[in-house]
Amino acid sequence: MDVEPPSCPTIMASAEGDGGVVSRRTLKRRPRTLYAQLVGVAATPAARLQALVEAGMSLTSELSLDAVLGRLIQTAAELTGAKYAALGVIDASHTKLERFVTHGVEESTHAMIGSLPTGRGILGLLINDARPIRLHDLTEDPHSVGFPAHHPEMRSFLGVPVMLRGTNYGNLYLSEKEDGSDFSEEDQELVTLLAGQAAIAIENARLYEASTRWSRRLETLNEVGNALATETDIALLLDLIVRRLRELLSAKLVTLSLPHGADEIRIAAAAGEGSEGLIGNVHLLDETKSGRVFQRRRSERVDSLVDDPEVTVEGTRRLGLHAGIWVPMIAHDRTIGIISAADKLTAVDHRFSDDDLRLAETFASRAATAVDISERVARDILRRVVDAQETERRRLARELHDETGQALTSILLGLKSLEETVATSPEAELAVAGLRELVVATLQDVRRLAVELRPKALDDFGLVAALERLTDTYSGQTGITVDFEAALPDDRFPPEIETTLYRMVQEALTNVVKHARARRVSILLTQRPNSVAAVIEDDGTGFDPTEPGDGFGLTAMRERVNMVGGTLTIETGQGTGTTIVVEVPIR
Amino acid sequence: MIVAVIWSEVPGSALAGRLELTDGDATLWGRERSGDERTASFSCHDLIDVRIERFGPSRLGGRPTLILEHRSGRLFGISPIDSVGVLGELAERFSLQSKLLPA
Repeated sequence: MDVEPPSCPTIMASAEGDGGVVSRRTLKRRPRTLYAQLVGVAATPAARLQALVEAGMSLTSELSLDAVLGRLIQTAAELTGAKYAALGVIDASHTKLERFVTHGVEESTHAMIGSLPTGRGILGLLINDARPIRLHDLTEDPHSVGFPAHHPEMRSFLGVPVMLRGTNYGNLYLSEKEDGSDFSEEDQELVTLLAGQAAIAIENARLYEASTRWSRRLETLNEVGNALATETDIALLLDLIVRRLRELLSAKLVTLSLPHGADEIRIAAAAGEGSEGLIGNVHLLDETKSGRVFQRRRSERVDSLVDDPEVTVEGTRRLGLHAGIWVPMIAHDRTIGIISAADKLTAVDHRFSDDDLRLAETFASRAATAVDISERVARDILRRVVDAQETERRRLARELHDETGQALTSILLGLKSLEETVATSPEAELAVAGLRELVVATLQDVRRLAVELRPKALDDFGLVAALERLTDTYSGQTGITVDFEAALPDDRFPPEIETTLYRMVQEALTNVVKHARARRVSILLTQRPNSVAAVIEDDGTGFDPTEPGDGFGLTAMRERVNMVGGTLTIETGQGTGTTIVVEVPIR
Repeated sequence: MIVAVIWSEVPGSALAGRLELTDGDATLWGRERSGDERTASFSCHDLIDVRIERFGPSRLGGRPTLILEHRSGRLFGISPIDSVGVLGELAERFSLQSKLLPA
């Protein structure tokens, strides 16, 4: 006798009607199903066991999670002769169902029922207590929360947890045996065995999916890494980093901040919603999450920004952000920047996963190397340009001083002799005197020009002597009082350091005349354990350091100091004067 | 363009300060040794002469000086501080903006 299997297996609705993630699968009817085979051979225990083993092997060979789940519920229904079967996959929190795959209910019926369950009632019972449940009539069970409208009638019930090594991956639900009987203990044992094999298959499929997903991300990462490696323009590179990371993470907003002086960071690049107007913003390290992560040098994931006391509430609310990750960019054990990403657009709760954090860390590591190389290239180019400029200035100054100056001095001496010779002619004497005056003025200009190009004292006598001369001249020209104090040893510093400090002081003094309206300037040179510092302080009007733009030439000063691995720190405010600290390491 | 300068309105005492040159307008700010501050502004279009005095009494601080003659008769002397080559550049800019030289 051949018993017809359930007709057109399709979709099953559950014993409750709350919301849930829908996963549908319409299975094609096979010519002769497992159930038909089993019934056809009188369903002996040996035959059912054989069918179970084959089903298990079939399951474990499947790598797609959706295919595994679909095949599992179909096999369970066929093994037990159940009209309806379902599988609820438990989410990572182990409190509710993240996926609900069904078998046995028409799609049209399913559509009328509406959303699928998330795990309350009888279904929730199995989540909380992972032990098989067998019921004659599930509607009579006190845990039942009833059926939603249009749900097929279901009474007999078998629920079995899908467990592996103590972890519950989900639950198998079967209802309504074709022959009208209740589910037997043998059904329970068979489905339990099937569930054990299914758990392995589910885990394999999940691992396979995870590795495939990670592999895809690594491929993308490699592509990005290659792109980063070929970009040496720092501005373009930073922009590329934030845009590509945003794509990789599906983030709403990604920013990249770089150190700005010793105590601040500056947003150097941003991509995504709300990124307009962020670039150039400067914050103290202690006042932002980015600054603190920069100092701690450890990446962090924050699932709820409003609950993190380090996150700026105002910015978070204004941009409508919920969750984020922060990853330091470290190259050669030096933190060179910080990347932050906010709100995963593909996640309902906006949260990033551990995989996202790992990806961002890997990406940040590559980006840090690229930025480090790019900065080194930029510094190297700048150093070469500045070196060439100083060399050229030194040559020109020497030429002016030694050649042109000497020639003019010789002319002066010649004119003096000529003056004595033509003393009898008042007109000639007047003409020679006029020429002498021109030559004297030209000689002064040539000598001044030579000093302005490159003071000979800097090369011959060192930084202190050169600055003493500079400050004397400056004070004489401008009327601004300069207090210069050098607390340095007699030993000379490397020419690169002396030149940098000299040019920094020179630029700072020019800025004082141009912008500060100061009456007094003090300059202090000091040696610290591993560095030498120049502190230039004026009593002028000061300025707002958060104002955009760079009318004070501070960017160029900072670049020049960075070139020798030093730092430039500015303390100022409206009406408070300005203090500039230039610190250069002594190698 | 902002340049640190010594300037004076001739005849007058020298002031240390700055010259700001934007869109055809020039603004001079400076402080005398006495501490008094002064400002002067004019349009470059109103200049009738731009020249460099390399010798003689018009030199400011012992330096070659840019002399600007305004149509009102005011005369300004400007000498950049510690900026090699800026004097010539300023003379060129003023000349171009005052239309005293073809652009």
